[in-house]
Amino acid sequence: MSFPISAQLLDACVLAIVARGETYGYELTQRIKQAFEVSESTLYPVLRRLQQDGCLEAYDQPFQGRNRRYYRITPGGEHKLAAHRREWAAFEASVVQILFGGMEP
Amino acid sequence: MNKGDYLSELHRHLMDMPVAERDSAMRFYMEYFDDAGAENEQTVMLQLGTPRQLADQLRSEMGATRRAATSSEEGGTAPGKRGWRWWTWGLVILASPVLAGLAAAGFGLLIGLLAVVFSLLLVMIIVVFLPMLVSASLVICGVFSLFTGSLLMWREFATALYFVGTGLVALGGGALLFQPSVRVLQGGFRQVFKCSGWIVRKLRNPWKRKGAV
Repeated sequence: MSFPISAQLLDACVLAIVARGETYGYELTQRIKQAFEVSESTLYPVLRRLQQDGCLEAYDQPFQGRNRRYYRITPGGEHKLAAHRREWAAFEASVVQILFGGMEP
Repeated sequence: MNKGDYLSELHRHLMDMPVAERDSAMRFYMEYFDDAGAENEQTVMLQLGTPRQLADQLRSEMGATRRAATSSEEGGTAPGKRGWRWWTWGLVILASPVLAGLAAAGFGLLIGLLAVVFSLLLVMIIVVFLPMLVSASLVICGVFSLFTGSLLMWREFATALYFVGTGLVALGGGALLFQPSVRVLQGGFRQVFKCSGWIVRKLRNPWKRKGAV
């Protein structure tokens, strides 16, 4: 993928993944990596920022004799995700308009 | 390098972070390794970069987040933190007369304690030397008395007799005391050495028990 990923887009994708079902750090990182080439080390600051902004909540659950930290989305996070989706749709439409405008599908 | 080495090195490189943030980051990467599984340990390390690189990245991204939070209207925590810092400095300055007094008192107490310890040592040394000193002075006095007595022998016989007698008594006492005083000296020195060794150890590490070395 040659297009750089903005922090906002990364936030939106993390929120979308967590909104689909509660998840934990490693799984989340692997799923993001399927879509973008991000370094494994960038996800922790993103998660931490989303928690501080009140978009995500972390909670611990026992897993194989240890505690695993899971993340779930908050109502505030849902709100933010909806805004990100609207912005993405508008952005995509205008990019498509420029890149493919006038071309017959 | 294994997981444990990596994490402890990361911990070392994050030392300048606030404790809560460091703990949270450490927790995340510890779990990350656990969830990746032992077979992926080396891959994960390769992808995370060296502990130093990871620490630098975390620091810079968290710093960026904090700056962003400060400049936006919603970021209430950072100005609050700054206010707290300001207040702390204010309090430190206001409390400085008391703090200085306390520090001086602590310093004085320490010096006093050291003085007590060293004077106790000195007393012990003196006590150890005392019998030898008494014995030696008795012998010297006895010799002088005998000498004086012998000089007076032809002039004042009674006085000479007194000096000779006293001298003999002193010599006898000194000689009698010599043997035990040597023993006291030997034993005492051993005790003083032991005791000063103990004091030095205590001064170096006051809370370490002898059994826990």
